[in-house]
Amino acid sequence: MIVCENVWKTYRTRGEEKTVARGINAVFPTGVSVALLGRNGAGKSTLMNLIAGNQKPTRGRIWSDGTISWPVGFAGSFHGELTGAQNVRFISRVYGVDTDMLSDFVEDFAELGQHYHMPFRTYSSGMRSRLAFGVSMGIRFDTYLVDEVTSVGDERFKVKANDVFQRRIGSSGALVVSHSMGVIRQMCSKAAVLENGSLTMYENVEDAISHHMENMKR
Amino acid sequence: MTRPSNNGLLEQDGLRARKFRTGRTIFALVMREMSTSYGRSPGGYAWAIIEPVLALAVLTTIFSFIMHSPPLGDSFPLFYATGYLPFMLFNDIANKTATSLNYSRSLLRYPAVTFMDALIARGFLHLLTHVLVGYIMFFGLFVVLDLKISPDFTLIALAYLMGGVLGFGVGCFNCYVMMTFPVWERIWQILTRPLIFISGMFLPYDFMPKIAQDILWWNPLIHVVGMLRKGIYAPSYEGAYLSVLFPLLTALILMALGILLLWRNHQNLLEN
Repeated sequence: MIVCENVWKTYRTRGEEKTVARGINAVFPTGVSVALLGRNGAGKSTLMNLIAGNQKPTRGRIWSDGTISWPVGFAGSFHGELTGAQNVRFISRVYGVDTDMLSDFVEDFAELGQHYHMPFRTYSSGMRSRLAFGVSMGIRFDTYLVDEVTSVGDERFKVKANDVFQRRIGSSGALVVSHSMGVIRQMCSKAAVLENGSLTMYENVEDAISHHMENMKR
Repeated sequence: MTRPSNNGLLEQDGLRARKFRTGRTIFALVMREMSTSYGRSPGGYAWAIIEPVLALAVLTTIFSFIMHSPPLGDSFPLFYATGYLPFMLFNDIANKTATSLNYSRSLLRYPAVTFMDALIARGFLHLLTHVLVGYIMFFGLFVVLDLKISPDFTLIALAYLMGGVLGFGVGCFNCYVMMTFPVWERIWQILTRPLIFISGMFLPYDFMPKIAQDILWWNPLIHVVGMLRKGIYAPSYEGAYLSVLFPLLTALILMALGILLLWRNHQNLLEN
């Protein structure tokens, strides 16, 4: 469960103040996938960062009784000089999981072949995202943060990735940001709309989508 | 703890209250920096040690032609190394710690990596590097030059501790100030340029004129350099002026201030 208590967030870009949260109160229950809808710049990613703990609310607080992942598929930390295996080992050390088990899982899942033991800088963009996605899937979290699922690999791999992901979030929960309503319908059973700094929770995804569509027209 | 699950997925929990989490993260960061900072050159981390050792060896050789009799002892290379190494220890740890949050910026995106992990990992790694450099350098000089010294290892360790903590304290404080006011990085570089001349490296404190002594006593580094010389030249060098409390107190105050300010502001600083 993740709870937002009267969360305010104001930040400044080039001298301009922007408030993306005005007293948000929300509960994201454990084991439920919640979609986060809103137009560009509404603050979806900021809210995601607040929940992940990368940013601090200006006021209010956010707490959670479970484990929260880093954004699924995040590859920004991978070091070009390290091999795929070494990059994976780094993460397993940080997250306190068994190094060999995670490494074996990712090696098998990402289908990188011998590239797995070559420096990350030699990877194609498809290989990079397969590795990043594999690491995210290798560790169990109570809540997965998904910011715009990037399509990973070819059709066959996509099916496999999607399958693993569905099972992962089937037993855990997720917070999903996506501009594709298809993805939202497929993955989420609840949805919230972020608009002018306030968050409206919907028990039904379709209600949220129609609210969001209304917003987009205006 | 880690059993294969029936649906084929790994059931390893991320971040469940496992023991030594900070320790594990710091270890991971240290290992990562060791294997990446000299990534493309064969030998890897060994260069972090070989480089300063070689640099010092070259400098010492050049200087020993200019200065024959050092103010302390009878070996110029040893005199030079006892001044240069603690200075480098301080300088390196201070600079590396100050840039640690920027260096680990992408890793701080993982909620599991905290700003303290990033600070400590860098400070620790560079302390370790300098301890190894110092060990190789002094042992090498001892063997090559056949020195007649009976070092006091407790005092040497104390000197390294003082230098390390001082560097870390200054680094923590500078990390905050540099991230808040980027211009401070330039100013700091200019301000500390003369540091090498006023830390007793070439002219030990005891040989300075009274007026310089009164002022430079307040340079915490002069106590680090002096403590190391007291240890290396034991028992002949007394260093009556030396204070352990002053540099340590300076370090701890700066460290507390830096960590407090970073703890309050690091998320905002990393946002930009």
